[in-house]
Amino acid sequence: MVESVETDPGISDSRIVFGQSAAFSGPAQALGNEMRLGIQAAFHEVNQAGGVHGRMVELVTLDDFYEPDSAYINTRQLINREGVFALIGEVGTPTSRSALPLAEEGGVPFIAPFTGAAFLREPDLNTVLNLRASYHQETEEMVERLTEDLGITRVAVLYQNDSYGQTGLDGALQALERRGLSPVASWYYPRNTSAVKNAVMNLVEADPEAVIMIGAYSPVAKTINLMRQDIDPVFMTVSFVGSNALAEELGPDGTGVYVTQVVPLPGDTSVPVVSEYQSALRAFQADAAPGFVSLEGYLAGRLAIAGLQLCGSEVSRECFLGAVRDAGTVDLDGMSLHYGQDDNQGSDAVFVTVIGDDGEYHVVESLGEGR
Amino acid sequence: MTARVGSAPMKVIVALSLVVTLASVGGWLATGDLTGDDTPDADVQALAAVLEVSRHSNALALIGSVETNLNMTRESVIASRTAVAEHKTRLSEQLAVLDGGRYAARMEKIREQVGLLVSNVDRIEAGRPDLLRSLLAGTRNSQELNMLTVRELQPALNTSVDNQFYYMMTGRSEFRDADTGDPMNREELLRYHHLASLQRSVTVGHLILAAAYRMPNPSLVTSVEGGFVSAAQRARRDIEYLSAHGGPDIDASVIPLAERLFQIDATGSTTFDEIRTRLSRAVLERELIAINHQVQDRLDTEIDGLVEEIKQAAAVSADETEQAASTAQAVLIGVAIAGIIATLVGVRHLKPRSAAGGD
Repeated sequence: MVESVETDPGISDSRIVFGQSAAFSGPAQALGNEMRLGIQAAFHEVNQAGGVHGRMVELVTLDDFYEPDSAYINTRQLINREGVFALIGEVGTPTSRSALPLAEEGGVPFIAPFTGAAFLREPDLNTVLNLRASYHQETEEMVERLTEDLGITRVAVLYQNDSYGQTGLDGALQALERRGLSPVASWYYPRNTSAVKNAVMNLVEADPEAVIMIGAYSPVAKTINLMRQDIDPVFMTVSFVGSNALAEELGPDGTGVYVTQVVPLPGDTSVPVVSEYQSALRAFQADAAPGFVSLEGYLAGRLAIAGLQLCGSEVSRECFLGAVRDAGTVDLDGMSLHYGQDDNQGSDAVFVTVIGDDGEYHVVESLGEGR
Repeated sequence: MTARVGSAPMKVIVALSLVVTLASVGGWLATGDLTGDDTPDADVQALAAVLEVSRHSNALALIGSVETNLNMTRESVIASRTAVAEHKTRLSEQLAVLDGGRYAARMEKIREQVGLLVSNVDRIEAGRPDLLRSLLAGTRNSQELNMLTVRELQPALNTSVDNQFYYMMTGRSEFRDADTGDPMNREELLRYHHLASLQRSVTVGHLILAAAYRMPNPSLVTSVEGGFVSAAQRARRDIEYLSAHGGPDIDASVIPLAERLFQIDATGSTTFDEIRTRLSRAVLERELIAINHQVQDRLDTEIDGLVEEIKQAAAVSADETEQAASTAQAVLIGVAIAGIIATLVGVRHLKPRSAAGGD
């Protein structure tokens, strides 16, 4: 617990403490572990350079298993017992949904949750600073590419049976509707399971040309493997899936699977911040492989550091939130984040990538390139 | 959660009043000749004692107004009991000072209310260790229930039902050799039926238990217990069948995990009994806290009455003393009484306004 006198919690003369509740065990653990790794790499990098205005930046983490009830309990503990300055890198939509009211009630900054859920982008929220594009933007990009690049009209949707799946499904439905289409089938699976076979039967039955999948890497990989026993549609999934874990899970069968991304390729060192990320990752954990999720975690950490630097030595939660929003543009060395009074989402960028024969992700301008 | 108390400025006022009062009483004792119970000096002594009774009874009530909650620790409970003992000692001392004075009838009522307050607070404090243990055990059990059901049993069961259904519909299973005959035979259908039934029972049983852990009183718990028992009975039949006829598509952890969930009741123990015991303790504590508020109100009324009686007596005495006593003594009496009244009013503002709940 950090002692503080006449300052917000989590701030002392020597340090600033952030809190993260995420899945560090269970079927979604790769997401939480990678997000934490990226944040820690960013914090380690700035601490090695003397901290932020002399203060070391620290991260306290608690495992929520990707379950909303645990996320609520953890968040309460981080705010009330650990006395963190801000929450960062919450992983998931249902977990963020249960944690957010506590952050809003306490005026605690809720920085860069790893989700594109629409409810986190409401303009009346006071504490949220999103880093990434929304799921609606990702599904819009998917449908646009499917219809324009490949002329596909028969689209099915697989979604996780919770608020994450629902927000992705809503986005897909709206994107299809804007083009006068509706899904040929939509089916769900229960969170934190790989019980996708019932969904697979229903999706195969509809014989879609493409399947948009709003899920986690393990059930998504299983769905792709099972469906390919009968049909070979275009598979597209959103960034939350955990791209590297998905590619690993699919192995050679991953070739041709599309994933929308909201951060640059983790190997693209032509982007300065990606180069810095790779250096920071090596310095923090020499054997860590670069990946999309840890890159997003690193960018989340950099955003937090940028907000602290904007405040100067007199840091407060109010100053932090106001400084980022008032700054308009926060430049993270090659990745510009744009905020405003009614805009809490820094980036609108969505990239379409495909898993190649080499098992790596490649950016594609047109879906035809990946077929 | 802690009880709300008065503002910092009010605390300063009370402290100043107390200092003025004690200084005045000291001054009087130094300059006057205290000769007997019927003198103004005795009134000042009585007022000072009443002030202390009011102060310590309010402090006692404040401690006793906090419901036992998960933010408490064994150490904080012990510290609380020590503080209660200290206030009880001070109350006894001050009540002894007031014994035998000329306000005996009023004092009897004050003593009675103080006795009730002390008794209730003693009962609350005596019950805290057990209640705290129950609360901690309840929280632990509730978390274990979630861990068992939401994170282990339900995912395994959902996947097993999904596997079984898929096999029946397609004849495919990664857990079976290819071409194993008709996937829709009677045995597979029965297996699916029992799996789906167990899935429903687990959902219902878990929901009932999770709700029972959060219920505020024992009668509500009893009202839902029957639903859990029914679910457990249904589950037992399904578990028996699946234990004997389980297929390869059923996750091996399903049966032992389901047995653990429903044996909670089958052992006779009694998750529900534990919940009822905890709630009974919590309800008793809430009742004692509510009674304490009433006792405090009555005590305040009696103390107000005593102060009024002493004021009137002091006014008469002051007239009689005016001619004999020095001007300094008369002024000191007035200041002391005013100080005591101000302190009493201030202490009243510092008393707890509501019973404090858990976190």
